[in-house]
Amino acid sequence: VTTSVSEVLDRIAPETDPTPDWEWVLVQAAVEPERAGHVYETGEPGSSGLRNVRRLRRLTLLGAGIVVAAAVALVVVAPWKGGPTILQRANAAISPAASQVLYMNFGICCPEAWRSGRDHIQLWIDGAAPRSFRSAGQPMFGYTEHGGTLGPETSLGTQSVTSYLGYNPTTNTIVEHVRSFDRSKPLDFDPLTVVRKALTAGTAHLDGRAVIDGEQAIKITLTTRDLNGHTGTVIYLANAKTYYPIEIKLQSLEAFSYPLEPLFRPNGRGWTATFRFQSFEYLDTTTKNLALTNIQAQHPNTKIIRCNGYKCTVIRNQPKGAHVSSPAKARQKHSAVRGIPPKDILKIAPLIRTCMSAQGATSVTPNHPGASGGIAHFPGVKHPFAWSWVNSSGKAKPIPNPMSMPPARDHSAPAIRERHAINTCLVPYRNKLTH
Amino acid sequence: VRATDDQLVGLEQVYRARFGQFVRLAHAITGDVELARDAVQEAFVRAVQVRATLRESSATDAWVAQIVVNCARDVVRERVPEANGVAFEEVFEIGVAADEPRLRAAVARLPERQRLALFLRYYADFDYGRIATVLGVEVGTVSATLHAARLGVVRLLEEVGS
Repeated sequence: VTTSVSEVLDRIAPETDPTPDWEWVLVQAAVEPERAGHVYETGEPGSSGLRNVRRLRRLTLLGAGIVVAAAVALVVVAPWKGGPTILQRANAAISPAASQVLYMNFGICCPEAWRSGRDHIQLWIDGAAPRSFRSAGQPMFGYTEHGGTLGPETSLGTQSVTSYLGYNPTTNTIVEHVRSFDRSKPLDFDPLTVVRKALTAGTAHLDGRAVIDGEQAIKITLTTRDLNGHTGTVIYLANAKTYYPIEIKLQSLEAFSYPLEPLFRPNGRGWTATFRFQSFEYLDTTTKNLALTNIQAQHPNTKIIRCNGYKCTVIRNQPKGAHVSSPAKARQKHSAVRGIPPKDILKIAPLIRTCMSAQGATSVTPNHPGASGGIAHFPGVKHPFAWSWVNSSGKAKPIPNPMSMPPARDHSAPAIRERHAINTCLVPYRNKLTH
Repeated sequence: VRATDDQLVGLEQVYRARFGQFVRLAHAITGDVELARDAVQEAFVRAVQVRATLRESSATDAWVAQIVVNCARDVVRERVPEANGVAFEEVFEIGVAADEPRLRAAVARLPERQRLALFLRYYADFDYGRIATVLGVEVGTVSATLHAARLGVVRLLEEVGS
């Protein structure tokens, strides 16, 4: 009889090897005191209900601090061998496998000056080498889409784009940048890179739970070093069940190195940028989904222009042939007012952008996040107007540098309006504008 | 911090020693191993939260087992929302009917006390004392309950087979 009953029970619930996760229990228990309202008292098996709710809540709250500290301590001192930790799960949840296409849709918040147009940035990453990617919805340098390939998989976390292309809808061209960026620096469109980097390096710790728009989340605090060696703090919130990202909050931010590599202020001050995820999902590697990661596949009949360095800038903004042969000549050509201290640029930059808007420009944005230059589009003018700041004659005197100008022979109303705006908004900071 | 909270340490020891057993116990009740794992996790969360109410540290595993059973029942109820208002026996049958229907249905037809006694003995490897604690009965009752359960399973299987 015993044997047959054993067989029956084995078949009903066969032995498995479930992964324990005590750390998760501690975190859950610590920050959800209201859950103690649904408890079972000692000595009354099977009794469910809401007895002694207040007493238990008090007890739970008292214990919460201890348990939070315990959870943090356990994370630090005891890498469990019984299965992946929460941090390992959080890392795995945001790292695509080779058979997956990662898709995310996120917005960037604050400051308002560079939020515009960045509420719905979409990013597709092919998990398989060479990990092609495409980003849309982040208009920069006249490009509305960016793409290329990320570094090898092993570099995830410190990745650097190994091939970079931009799609310009105005000219319907794809500009392929050749040797245009410093390969030693990350060129990253993925805001989760900083999170993966910290989770992999062990500079992240579990910091309890939170509720975001009614969604239960785990809170992870991490520290990371930027390109300048400055340390910054990042608050990362992920869904408590799926570990998919909800929000990334970068604190003490100085700026973004193009495009989304954070630079921190060493003194701890600075501003906060928040990435908020509207979608995060893994897609099958179907032909259609893989095409989403490929900027050329999205624009199959588009001319591809290969360029490098400053020529790319010229091509972007003056595709019809206006030409400056080198950055050095451009600086000579555009040399103008001296004496504006670098620290004043950040004060002047938003004034110029505000001025541009007041003069009728639409879509006025910095030409990359945190930049002091900008891009403005005037209704009726085919190409956007861009300006940046350059050091003139090697004397480290930054001046606003118009990267494109409307042709002088164009006397149409929109072109006149644009020239007027440029002169009104930039001339106060320059002796002379040439083009 | 861990050393100053003996009950937490005790719960952690039970968790590490009995996690797999409790998952099997919950699996038998819920009919789904993933739901079972969730139920056990949830049970330990509750246990940690209300550990101050645990009076005897020697009975920690039996105390947690009670919570595991209750959490597994909750899972079954949540899984079959349309079953609200019907007897637990019926809910249990609905909850386990999808997998191994003959065996599960047969075991599900056992009286609840017999069924739980069987599960606790077999899956959790509990002695009679602990089973008695979980079920809230005298130790002497456990032996008879288990005997009746085993016979009941055999009889029910014969019925199902015929």
